Amino acid sequence: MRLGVECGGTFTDLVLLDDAGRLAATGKVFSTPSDPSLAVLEAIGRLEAVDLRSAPLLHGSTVATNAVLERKGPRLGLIVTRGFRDVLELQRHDRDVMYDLHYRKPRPLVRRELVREVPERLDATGKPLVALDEQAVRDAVAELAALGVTSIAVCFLHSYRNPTHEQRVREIVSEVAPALDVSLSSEVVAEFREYERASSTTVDAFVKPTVDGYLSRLERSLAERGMGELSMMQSNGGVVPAAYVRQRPIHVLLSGPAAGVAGAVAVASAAGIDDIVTMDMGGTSTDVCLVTGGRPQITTESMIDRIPVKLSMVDIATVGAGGGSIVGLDPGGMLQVGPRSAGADPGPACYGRGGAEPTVTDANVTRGLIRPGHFLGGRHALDRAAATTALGNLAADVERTSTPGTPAAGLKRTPAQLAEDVFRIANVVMAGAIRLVSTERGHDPRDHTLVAYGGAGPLHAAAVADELGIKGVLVPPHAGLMSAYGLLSSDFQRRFAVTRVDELAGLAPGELGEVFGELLADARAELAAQGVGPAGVVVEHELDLRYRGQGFELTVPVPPGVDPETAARLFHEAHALRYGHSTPAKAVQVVTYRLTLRVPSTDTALPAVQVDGDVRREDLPVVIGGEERTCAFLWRASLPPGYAIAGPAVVEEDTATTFVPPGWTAAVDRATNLVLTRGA
Amino acid sequence: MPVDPVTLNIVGTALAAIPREMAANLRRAAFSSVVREARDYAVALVDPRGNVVSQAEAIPIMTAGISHAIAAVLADNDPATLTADDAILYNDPFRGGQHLQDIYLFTPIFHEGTLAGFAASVAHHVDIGGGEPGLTINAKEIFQEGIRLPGRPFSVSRDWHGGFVEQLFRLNVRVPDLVVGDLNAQFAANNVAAERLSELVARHGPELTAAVMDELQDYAERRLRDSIAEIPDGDYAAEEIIDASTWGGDRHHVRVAVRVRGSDLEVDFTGTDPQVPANLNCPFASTVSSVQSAVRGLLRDKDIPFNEGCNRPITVTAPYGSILNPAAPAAVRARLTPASRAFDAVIRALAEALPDRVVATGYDTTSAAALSYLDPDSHEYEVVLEVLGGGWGAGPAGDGADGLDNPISNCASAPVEALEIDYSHFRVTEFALLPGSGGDGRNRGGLGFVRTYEATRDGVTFSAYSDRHRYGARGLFGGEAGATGGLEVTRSDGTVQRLSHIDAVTLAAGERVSLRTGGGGGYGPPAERPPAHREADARDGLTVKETPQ
Repeated sequence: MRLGVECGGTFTDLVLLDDAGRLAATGKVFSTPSDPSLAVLEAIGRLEAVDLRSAPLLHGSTVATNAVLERKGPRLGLIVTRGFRDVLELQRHDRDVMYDLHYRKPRPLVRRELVREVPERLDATGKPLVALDEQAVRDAVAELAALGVTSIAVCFLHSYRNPTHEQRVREIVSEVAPALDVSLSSEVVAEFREYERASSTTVDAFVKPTVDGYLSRLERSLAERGMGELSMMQSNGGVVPAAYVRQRPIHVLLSGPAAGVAGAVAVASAAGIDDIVTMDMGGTSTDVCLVTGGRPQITTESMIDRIPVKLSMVDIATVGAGGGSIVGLDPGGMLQVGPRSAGADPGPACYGRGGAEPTVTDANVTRGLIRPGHFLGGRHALDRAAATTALGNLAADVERTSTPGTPAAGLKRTPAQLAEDVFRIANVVMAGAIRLVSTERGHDPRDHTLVAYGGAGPLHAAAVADELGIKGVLVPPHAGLMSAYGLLSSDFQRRFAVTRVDELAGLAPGELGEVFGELLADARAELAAQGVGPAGVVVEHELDLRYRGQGFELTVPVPPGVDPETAARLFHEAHALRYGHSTPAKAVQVVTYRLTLRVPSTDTALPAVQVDGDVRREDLPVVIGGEERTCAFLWRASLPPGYAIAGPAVVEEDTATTFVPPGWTAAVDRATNLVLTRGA
Repeated sequence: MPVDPVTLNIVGTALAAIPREMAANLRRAAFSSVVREARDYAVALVDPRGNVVSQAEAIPIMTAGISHAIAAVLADNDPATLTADDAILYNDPFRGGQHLQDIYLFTPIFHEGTLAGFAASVAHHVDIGGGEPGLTINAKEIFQEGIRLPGRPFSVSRDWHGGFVEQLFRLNVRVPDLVVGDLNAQFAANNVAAERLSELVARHGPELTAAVMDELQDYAERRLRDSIAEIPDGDYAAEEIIDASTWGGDRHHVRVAVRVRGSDLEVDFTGTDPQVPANLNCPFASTVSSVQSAVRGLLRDKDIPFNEGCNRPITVTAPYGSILNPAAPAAVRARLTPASRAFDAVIRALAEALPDRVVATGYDTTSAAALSYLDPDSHEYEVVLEVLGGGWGAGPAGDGADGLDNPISNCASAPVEALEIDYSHFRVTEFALLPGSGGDGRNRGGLGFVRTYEATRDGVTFSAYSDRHRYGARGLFGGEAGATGGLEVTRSDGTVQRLSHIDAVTLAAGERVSLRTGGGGGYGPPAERPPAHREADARDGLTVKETPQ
C-alpha cells in the first residue's frame, strides 16, 4: 500500500494504491488551513477498513506556506556584516506595482530591532578583509537572547564563497546561548545576491519550528497506526523524507502545484508525450506549467508573500480563473471573469449555500455541461435554477445599467447565451496564462499537448487549446485527484548549489569537475546522514552561466566532467535558443554550480480507470453556439480502451467532467487516458 | 460597428496580449542590463491613425511618451506612403521624444496590403555618443549628449542589416554591440507585433478589429473620466523647488495650476522657470508622463489600461522654453529631476481636493552615479551606473515607504555582491537606512539611505547628479519636511569634503564617497502620531539619528 495525501486550498485529497499500483481508495475532505494535519488525519481515518500497516505516506502540505502567510513563527534575530543592517529593509529598492502612492514594502520576518551588525568582511573571492570580531558576536547573541529571540539567522557578505565566519557564529551561539536555533545563509542557499540569500535564510529559520511540530504530530499519529515513513513534496517536484524537511524546511514552501505537474509528467511520459502544457483548474484559480522533454521548467526566483526565496521551484503561472470565479461588468463596461472568487463558501450560486453572484461553474451548469445530479459523483446536488437565475440577473443588470454609447447598451442576452460568453472569456484568461509560460518565454505552445486536470480543467481544455492552436489534449484518469496521484509518482529529489564566479577561459580543463566533485561529496555525505545510500542515485549537473557583464544567468545542463570549452559552447547554444542570439566571441563566466540527486520512484503507479461494464450513455441537450444541441453524456468508467466519440460529447467521472466540443474527437487510450484531438 | 462587452473582452484581451508578448521578446533579446534588469523600455500597439491602443506595463516615465513621439513622427510622414520595409528610429527631445538615450522604433503593420496599425517600442540605450561615458554631467547643450535621430523612414532591407543606418550607430556610440543588439531586440519586438496583429485581423476581420481598437480607447477614457469626476471641481495650484544647477542661481521653480471641471483635468505649468544651460531640462513628453503618473497614483481605479483614451480627459501645457518644455538645443539628460518636481507639484496641488488620497512629498529624486576607471594596462574602461531613490512621502493611511526608487521610475539596486564580483575598482562598504531622515508627522515620511563606495584603485572617477541637497521634501497638513540628501568624500588623510549635487571627483585607493538620499515629508501634525508608533520606531531605531562611526 502507498498513500498520497495532498492539502489544497479548499480540499485535501487522498489516493491509496495497492502493491500492484491499482487504485484501492480515494478520499476528499475539506482542508483545515490552521492545522493542515487535521484534514490529513481525517482523510486517513476514513480508511478504517484498510490495513495501512507499514504503508508509506507521501504528503504535500501548505503548512510552511501558511506559516509565512500568517506570520506565525519564532521571534527571529539576524546577524549581518557591519554596514548592512538594513539588508531586509532596503531589499532591492524597487516595487512590484507601478502606480501606488501609498505603496507598502513587504514586511521582513525580522524586526529591525532584532538585527545586529558585527565587524567582519570577505571580498568577492572569499578572502577575509576584516577578521570576524568574536567579542562583537558574543555581545550580539547575548543581546538578542535577552530580547527573547529563539532563532538566529546569519548572513555575511560573500559567505557563499567562504562560510567560515558564519560557521564560527554558530559555534559561538552554542557556547553563549545553546538553546537558540541557528540558520546560516551559506547552508540554506550558497548563492550570491545578499538580499535574496538573507531573506531565504530568514524564511527557513522562520518556518522551522512550525514544520517541526507539524511533522512530529503527524509522525506520532502514523506510528500509532503502524504506518511507514513520511515523505514530503518539495517545490521542485521531488519528494524527500521528513528528516530532511526538518533540517531544511524552506524546500516544502509553495509545493502545492508541483505534485500535480509531477503526476501529469508521469502520465504523459508513459503515453510517449514529452512536451506538454499542464493546466490545473481548481475552484479559485488555474495553474499552468510548461514541460519540455519531460522536464518541467524550473525557476530559482520565487516569492512567498512578496519575500524572495531562492529555491528551485516548478515554474508555474497562476491566473484567477477557476470554477468559483465571479463574473461581472467592470466599471468601463467590459464583461470580466475573476479574479474575485466565490471560494468554497458561499461558493457558486448553484451550490445553494447563499452565493448570488454568477460564477464560471454556474455558467457551465446553465449550459447543461455540468449535470446537477452528477457533480462530485452525485455527493453534492447542484441547483441549476439558482445558476440560471444568477446569470439572468447579470443579463438584466447589463441591460439596465448600461449607458448609451457603451458596449453594453441595448445588449440582450439570455442566461444560456451569457453562459457561453463566460465560458469563452474564461478560456481567453487561461490561454493568456499559457502564453505567459510559452510564447513569452520563447516556446511555441502548438508543439505541445495540453494535459488538463483539476475538477474543471477538462471541461475547458479543448476550447483553451483552440485559442492557442494546440491540437491535442490529454485528460488523465481521476483528473480531479491528479495532485494526490502525483505524490505517488514523484522521485526522491534533492538539489544542491554553490556560487563560485570565474571566467571559463581562465579555468584548467578539470576545474569545473573539481568543484562539482566537492559539491557532490558534500551532497552524498548529507544524504548518507539521512539514510539515503548511493545505490540508484542519478546525478544531474547544471551550471549557471552568463556573458561577462550580464546581470543574470542561464541555467544550462552539462555532462559530468564537463570542460570549460564545452560548457561555453553549450551556453552559446542555450542563449541562442532562449534569447534569439549568442555572441561566441564574448567571455563567458560560470556563476553557480548545481547538482540534482534523484532516486527514481520505483513501482511507479499510474492512475487508471477501472472499466466496469457496458458503455453508459445518455443523450441530453446542451447550449452550443446559441442553440440547444443534443450531446452524448458518457460515464468515463464505462469506456473501454479504443472507444472513440466525436463531439459534442461530455465525459463524466467522480471528480471531473470533460467536454468534447464539436470538431473534436475523444478516444480512450490503452492506459485509459482520454485523448482529445482536433479535426479528426 | 458596435462592439458588445463580450467581444470587447475577447478581442481586447488579444490586443492587450500583443504588447505583453512584445515586451517579453524585447527583454529576452536585449543585450544591456538596463533593459533586462532595470526594465527601462516600453512597447505599444498603435492604430493606423497613430493612436496607442494597448501597452505593456512599463516604468511610469516611459508610459505616456509613446503617444507623443508617434504623433510627431506621423505629422511629418503620410502613412499612405509607408511600406512594410520601412522603419523609423526617433529620439528628438524637442518633438515628442524623451532624452536621447530613449530611442523609439516605429514600424507599420500591413494585412493584405492595408495598413492595420503600427508597432512601437522604446528602450533606454547605454550610450548614444556624447561627451563622456556613463554621464556627461556638465553638458550645456544637446549636442554634447549624443546623436539626434530624425523621424524619417528608412529601408530595413537596405539600410539596417549592415547598411547605412546601422553603420551610423556603430561609428558613433562607445558600445556598438550593446546598442545595435538592443535595437535588434526592438525589431524583434515589433516583428512579433506584426505577426500577431495580422493573425488577429485574419481571425476577426479588419472591421471588427478596428472597431475594438477604437472601443478600447473609449473604454479607457470612460474609466479615467469616471475617476476624475470624483475629484471636486476647482482650481488648485502648487510650487516645487529644484536645487539650482551648478551654473548659478539659487533655485529653479516648477509651478502648476490644476483645473478640474467635471471629468476634464487641465494641468498648466505657466510660471515655471525658463530652461537652464545644464542637463536639467525636461522634454515635454516626459512632463506629460509625469502628470499622467501623478494622476494615476491619485485615482481610486488603479488598473485602467493605458492607451490614447487616457490622454483625452487630461490637457497638459507648459511654456515653450521652460524647464518643462525646453527648446533646442537644451541639454536634457537629467530630465527626471524636473519631471519628478512636476509629479510632486500635481500631487501637492490636489491635496486640498483629495486630502484622503494624496501623500506628502517624497524625496522623489533620481540620484545617478557613475563609477569609472580606465585600466592603464589594458586601456579598457570599467563603468558602473548606479541609480538610487530615497524615502517616500507619508499618506493618510500610513508612513511613507523607506528606501525606494523614484515613483516615476522603478530601478532595482544592484546587489553589493554582484557589483564586487563584476568590478575590481571599488567596493560598497555601507548600504543602510538613515534614521531620523523621514519627516515627522501623524504619519512619518519614509527614510532615506546612505550608500558608501570605497575605491580600490588609484584614479577612480565618481560623477553624479542628484537633487534636494538644499531643500528637503515638504510635509503636508502639518507634517514636517524630510531630510536633504548629500554627497561626501572621505580622503585618505581623513578630511571630509562636501560635494555639490551635480559633481565629479577622482579617488585614490581607500578613499570613500558616501551618497546620502533624503527622506519623505510627514503627513499631519507630529503631535498626533500615536505613541505606539513612536515606541515602535524607537525600538527599531528608525527615528533617532545615530552618531556616525
